[in-house]
Amino acid sequence: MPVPREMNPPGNSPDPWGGLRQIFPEGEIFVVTDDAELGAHTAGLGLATALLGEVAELPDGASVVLLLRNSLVSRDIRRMFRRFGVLLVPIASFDPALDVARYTFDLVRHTDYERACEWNRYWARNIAGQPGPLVFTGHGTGLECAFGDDISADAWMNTRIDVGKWISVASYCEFSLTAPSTRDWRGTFDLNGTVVASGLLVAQDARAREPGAARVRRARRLRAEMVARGPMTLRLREGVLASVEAGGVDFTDALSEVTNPDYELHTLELGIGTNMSLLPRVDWTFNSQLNEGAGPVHLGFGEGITGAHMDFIVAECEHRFEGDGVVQQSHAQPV
Amino acid sequence: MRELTINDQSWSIDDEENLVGDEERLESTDPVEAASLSYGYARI
Repeated sequence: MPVPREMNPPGNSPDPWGGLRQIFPEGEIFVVTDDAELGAHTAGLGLATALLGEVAELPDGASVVLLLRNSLVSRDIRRMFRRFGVLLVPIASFDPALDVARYTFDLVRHTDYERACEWNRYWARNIAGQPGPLVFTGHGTGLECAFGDDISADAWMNTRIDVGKWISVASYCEFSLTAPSTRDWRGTFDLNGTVVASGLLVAQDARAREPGAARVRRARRLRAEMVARGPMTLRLREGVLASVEAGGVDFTDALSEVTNPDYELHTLELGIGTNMSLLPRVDWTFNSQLNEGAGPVHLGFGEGITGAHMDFIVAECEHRFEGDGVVQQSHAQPV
Repeated sequence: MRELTINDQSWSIDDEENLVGDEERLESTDPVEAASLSYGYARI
């Protein structure tokens, strides 16, 4: 299936909003942020910007790009945006540093949302319809993913966001499959094989309390060490991480501890990237949510509540459905 | 063919302060079932 192309794809667009115009094609767009420094940066780019305390002054039905650098999502914040269409970028859930925030917003503007949605529809169509397992191969990765018969996925399939909707940017940039529950780790997918990851993220859910939040803090230090020694090699058997090493150092036990040892390294998430056109812009040293969709696949451990959520991101590989015979390049258009 | 359900993870609060959208999953006491890995959700 051919992918619709913009006359000016986000990477070349003269419009400072870039790909965000695909989401909000009509009317004025506003950046809203909880941080004055980040707001000064977006205003300096020529973008209409408001601080969180000024939201009441925005017109009904406004299109909003919400950048949370200092705050995790809360009930109070959600209530403030009921009369708008919102693309949420939860920067603080990953790393609130200003350079990471600026980098993240740069990737938000350079994302091709139409193509990401095309990929999401490709994955929905093929995971529903292909009977054989999905296989990722190449650049050291060889991972077989078998799916259950009745499963769910998190993704946003339509480019536009209408008034009343609250869509997190990750819903565009990845097709996310998660384990059903602690009682059923393998009901959605079963994984076997080896993965070579270039990127690693740490995320915290707004619902995290101690001791989960303490595990997240330790996970941030662990992440820095692992990325510095990368790439990281993960071996999986029946959905469980058997080992992870980087630079000749075994980090298996350390990863178990920070993601919640009760989970015994069961894989929580199979995330399929839909934003691979960003890859040339990616800096793997940043703990930025926009990095995860730039690689063709990532594996997540922990849920971010009782411990850290950690995503290992494969930078390059191909995929095919066993029995289908068609090998799909990770950067090619979906067919 | 397998059954595949797509969740958009959008949610809101109605005038009675109730959660609207995927309530059963997001409010589950099982943290894995309640996981929201786009980080756009907060407990009501």
